Amino acid sequence: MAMDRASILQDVQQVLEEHLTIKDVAETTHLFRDLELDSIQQLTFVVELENHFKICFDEGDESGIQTIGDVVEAVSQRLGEA
Amino acid sequence: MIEARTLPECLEQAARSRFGVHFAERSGGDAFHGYSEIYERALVVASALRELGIEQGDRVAVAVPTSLDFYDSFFGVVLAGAVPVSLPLPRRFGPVDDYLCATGVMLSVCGVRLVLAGERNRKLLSRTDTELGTVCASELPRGVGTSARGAAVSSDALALVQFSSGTTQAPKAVALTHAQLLANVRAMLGAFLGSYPEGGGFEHRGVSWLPLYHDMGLVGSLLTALALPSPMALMSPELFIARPARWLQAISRHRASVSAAPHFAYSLCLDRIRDEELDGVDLSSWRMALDGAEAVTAPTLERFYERFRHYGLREEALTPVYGLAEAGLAVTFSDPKRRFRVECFEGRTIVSAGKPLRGFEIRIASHGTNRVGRVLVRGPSIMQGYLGAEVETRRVLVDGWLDTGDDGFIDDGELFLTGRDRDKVVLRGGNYAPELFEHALEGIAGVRAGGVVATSVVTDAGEELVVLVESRSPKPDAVKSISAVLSEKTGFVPHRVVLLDPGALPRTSSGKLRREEAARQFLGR
Repeated sequence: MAMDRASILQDVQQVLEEHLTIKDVAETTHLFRDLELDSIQQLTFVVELENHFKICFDEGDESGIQTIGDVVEAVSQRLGEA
Repeated sequence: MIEARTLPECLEQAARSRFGVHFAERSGGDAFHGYSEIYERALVVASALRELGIEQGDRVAVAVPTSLDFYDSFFGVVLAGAVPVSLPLPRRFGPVDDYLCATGVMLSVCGVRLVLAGERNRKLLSRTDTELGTVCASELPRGVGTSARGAAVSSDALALVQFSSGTTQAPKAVALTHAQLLANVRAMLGAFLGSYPEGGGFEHRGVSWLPLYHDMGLVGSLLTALALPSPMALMSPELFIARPARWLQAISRHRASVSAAPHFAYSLCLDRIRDEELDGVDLSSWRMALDGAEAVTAPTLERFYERFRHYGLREEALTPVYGLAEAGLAVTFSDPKRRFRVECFEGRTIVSAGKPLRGFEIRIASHGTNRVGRVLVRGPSIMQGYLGAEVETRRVLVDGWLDTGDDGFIDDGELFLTGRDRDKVVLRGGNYAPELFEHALEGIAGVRAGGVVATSVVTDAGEELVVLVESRSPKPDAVKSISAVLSEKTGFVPHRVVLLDPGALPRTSSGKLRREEAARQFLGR
């Protein structure tokens, strides 16, 4: 299922707001420096992204992800493979 | 009670029962697999492993998420007469290189010949180095002729290796024999069933979301259900973390009587479950809500009861327990038919961890007439030792007594824990070496090299991370950048960051940090 970057970003924002009550993020928002996500929030975020986009990340796929922009990129790649 | 002397015998006996395991699916349903099917599948994997060259006593790492695939892999290894080495799974978003480095040392310390992984982490674990590499149980060649039963193993043979806290360079690989492992399972089942003698209407039905590489998940939940045997429902830790209500819904749906979790899970339920998620949920079957693996605090238990009693939760079900991987798992259980007990100690309220399980003894090693001291444990499931770490083994195992590293006192036969082993940081039920957090801060601007102490403090919510950091002229955003680095590298955001002048942390004459003293000096305990 192809989705453009802007709609993916919008959906990522929606997942963050709905499940972690985090608002006002942009592509440049840093997951650790700005949001200080702990491992429970990180796991919740990944699982809910997978639920929302109906995708499955392999362990290690999310490694190196630092910003919301990186998340959008990773989701986009997975959607492209589906 | 259980007669099986080894894990293969346990599975064989369970296969003759009508019971099995329900696996929770993401969509909300369950998939059921009977122990007879699980046994048959494991026999196929065992044959394939032998074909691959795995021999009796070989160590095979199992790094498989909660699924039928876990049973295939773990019991395939067991029925082949080999020894499963239970490997932690990587943290999502976590730094992969650190994970691979730590895993590599674990594999080498245990002399692992082969790694069994899940479909989603096979690629990652292929980057580790073992003689026979990394495979998924489902990919092993089939049709090589399945033997009719598992390998005959002695009850004194090594049954399982599980990891306790330890540094990346020196992991603590806890080695347990079949006899030791089953002695702990038997003691726990004795506590479950013994509390409700005939006519008490107690039937063991378990629900667990605990990671299966954690002793509380593997030994406390999976193996106790298998050994009895009794019905078990499993869900992945991810499902619970993302939607904590799924845990309570599962307890209700399966009419579970026993379900265990570290203390943080009870807090997480309070914070994250919305009332509308609990429509129709009935927790009255839950007789033992075992709570352990980290400090248990009374306010959380009280709040948990107040909130969920409207769904049938019994107050006496909240059962604080104490145990550690080095003891197989469980050491003490509080009385599951009575409200949890508390005592005041130096102005703090301490929750009783209960009495030793049958066959176990605890004693306090203290100076003079001091009633508080180091908690020592003796019993039939105390580990053989740490693999590849004789010095450390000799340090903690003296004359059959295990030095837990924790401090406490005994009152009316019940154990009260007053202080934690400062050589580990216990967070969310997991044991971590302080070095994990201390090293993560190396190289950060303003942080003095070798000038960090990581420890934990007990808050109402449970144990939380605190770092004491020596810093020369700290920048205004020093605390924020320390938090950010810990969040990224370890997944834990510190509850407090204490900035200190260079040289303020207490050290030994040889310059080694004295964590216990530092915690006392700067955190008032």
